[in-house]
Amino acid sequence: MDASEDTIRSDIVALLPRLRRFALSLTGNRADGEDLAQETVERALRHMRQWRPGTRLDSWMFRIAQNLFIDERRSARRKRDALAEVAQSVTVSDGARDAEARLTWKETCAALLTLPEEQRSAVALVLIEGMSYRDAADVLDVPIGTLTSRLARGRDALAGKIFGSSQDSRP
Amino acid sequence: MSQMDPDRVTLDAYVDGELSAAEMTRIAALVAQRPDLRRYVENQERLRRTLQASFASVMNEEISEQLRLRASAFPRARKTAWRDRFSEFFSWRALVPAAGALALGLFVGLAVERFAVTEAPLLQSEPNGQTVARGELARVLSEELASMQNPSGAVRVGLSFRSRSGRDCRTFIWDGTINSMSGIACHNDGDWVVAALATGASNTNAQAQYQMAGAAMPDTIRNMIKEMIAGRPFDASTERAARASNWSGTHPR
Repeated sequence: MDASEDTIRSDIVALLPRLRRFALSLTGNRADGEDLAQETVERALRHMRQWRPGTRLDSWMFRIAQNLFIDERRSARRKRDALAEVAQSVTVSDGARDAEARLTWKETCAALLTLPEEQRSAVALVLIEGMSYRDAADVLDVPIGTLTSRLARGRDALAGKIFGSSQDSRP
Repeated sequence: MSQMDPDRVTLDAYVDGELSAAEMTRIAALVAQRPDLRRYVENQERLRRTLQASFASVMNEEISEQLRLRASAFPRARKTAWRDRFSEFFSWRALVPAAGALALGLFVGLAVERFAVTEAPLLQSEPNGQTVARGELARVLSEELASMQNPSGAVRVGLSFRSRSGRDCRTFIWDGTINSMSGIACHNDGDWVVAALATGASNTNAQAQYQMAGAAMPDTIRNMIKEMIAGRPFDASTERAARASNWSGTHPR
């Protein structure tokens, strides 16, 4: 193991909480989120040479997670539609519609899962992970304009879910 | 709405801190004066706070043992992509012409027949005798960058290079349920024309796939590349430029 590999490994370990959060916001449940995070770490370590030093390690890891997630969904390996299940069983309570809503991660995931995947990942990267438009667009490999329009639609839908439609007032 | 009204995209960019300092200042002044804009901005800030706060407990949880072990103990692959392997191969050895021409027509014909029966149609024989990529294979060849592709995808690209006849060409590997194949396709008039193809048994479990990725390029394909290539394989930025030019063989190398 060389020094640079050691450094990357420790950087990956430092990223784990965020990776787990991102995986959770994509999959919407703990077991699948954990699986996705683990698979992402494996892929990243296997393909460490593809990461270019000087570029963002978090963006690269999130891109791997996003691709794995889409791939899993596309290939329909998971027959059980966990997402729809969670979305149906957990609804945002009326209490959440307070002036300063307090949501559990399950309630947030339930709301996120009602969004199309492309909006969900845009919201997760920018609003939850706090990435810049440029970095988020890189993760998703789309132009910035595509990212911002997905983000705008995701915002509208989420604000409606969480705060009620009356609060979704656009200027 | 006045002339000064910021559009939705600008307002969102303001909320997300994505504007220039001058624009941030201009929009902040507008927001301060306009209750409707202020309400929108406040709602968006609240949405962000609410989303982030909801994950606070998750962020503070212990990382599971399995996940931590994956990161600290999972063995690193020494040679993962053909790209790495081939670059090494390339720098070590002088280019030697392939020993004898390949009977490509027969080779491709055989492979097409095999794959057409068992797998999604990734290849199609044209009336002019050419074999072109279709479906997922065509999509990956046109869109994916070797450094950014999904490492677990069924179809993956390897090297990209300019051929002596001025075409942009790419190597690919495809792991099917029964067979696997690797080959070279060159972009020509909007199609990816297959120049070489080799097939083998599929490796479906992860470990086998990993081993295969390292040794995936059969000698026939390697030799074919050596015959075809002009210069060196594209690096990451050249590959990106080639994609931007739609693999037209026109971008500088």
